Amino acid sequence: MQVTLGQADGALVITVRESRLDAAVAIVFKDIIRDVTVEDGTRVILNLKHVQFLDSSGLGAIVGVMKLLGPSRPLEIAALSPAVRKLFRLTRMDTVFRIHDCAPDAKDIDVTQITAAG
Amino acid sequence: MTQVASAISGCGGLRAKAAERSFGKEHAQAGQTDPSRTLRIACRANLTEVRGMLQHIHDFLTVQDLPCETVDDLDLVLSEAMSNIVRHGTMGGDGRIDCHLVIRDASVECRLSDTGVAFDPSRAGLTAPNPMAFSEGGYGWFLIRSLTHHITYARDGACNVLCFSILRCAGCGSEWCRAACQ
Repeated sequence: MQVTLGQADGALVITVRESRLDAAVAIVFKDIIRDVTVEDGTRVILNLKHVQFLDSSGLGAIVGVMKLLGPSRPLEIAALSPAVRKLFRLTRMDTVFRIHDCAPDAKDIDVTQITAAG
Repeated sequence: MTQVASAISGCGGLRAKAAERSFGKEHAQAGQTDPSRTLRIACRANLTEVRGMLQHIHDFLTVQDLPCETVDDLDLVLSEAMSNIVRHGTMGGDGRIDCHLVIRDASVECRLSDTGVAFDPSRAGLTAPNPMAFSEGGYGWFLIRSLTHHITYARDGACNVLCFSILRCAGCGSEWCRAACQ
């Protein structure tokens, strides 16, 4: 699995470069984010524009990441596909996460790439 | 992963029981099923093979005349059901999952069978976890129930058999959907 990190508007942007965030990669995804250093007070925006499919395992991993980051590093979600948005709506997780229609402009982001098996 | 050309072997070959009656009844009412609108496929019960099988199913669904939202719903329900089989049914051991899909005018019928341990889904997922609890699990069966129609489960010999349908018209607002809902 592959994610990229960047900065935009004072936030850390984590872009998931996978079309599926499901049971097969949920643990790897969580492990990758666990290793990312985020300073206190920094917003974290999870950019899901490449993710066409998210299941409950992927959702659980996102919730787990939110808990790892803690309240001083609030996790926000961006660029949901219709299917992913529907899952957030059905589970009502759209009521507890701040969700942006679009991710910050990638041109403003200093991109670092992290790749892991899975 | 194997695409099953004729009768499903393993669980699929067992005689029909309660969970399959509605599935079989639909077949009988509709007469002979168009082979291009039917998929029988099987894989070993591990996440890697399940992912491959889900991709194969997705490819099959996308060439059918189905609204995008119906394909999305099927992708999600099948992923949830098969992930549950791998994690709770076979618990990483050697198991098998058989999937039989039939595209109908108003719905997609699915029969999913596996060689995992028996389970009782009667109380699973009746309500969604409270979002304020930030639960990392417990959404799977709720999603399955939310998106399916006429879901039934039965233990058949050494196999679990889950049958359900997903309505083609999910209120997506597409041209097909509007026409079908007239």
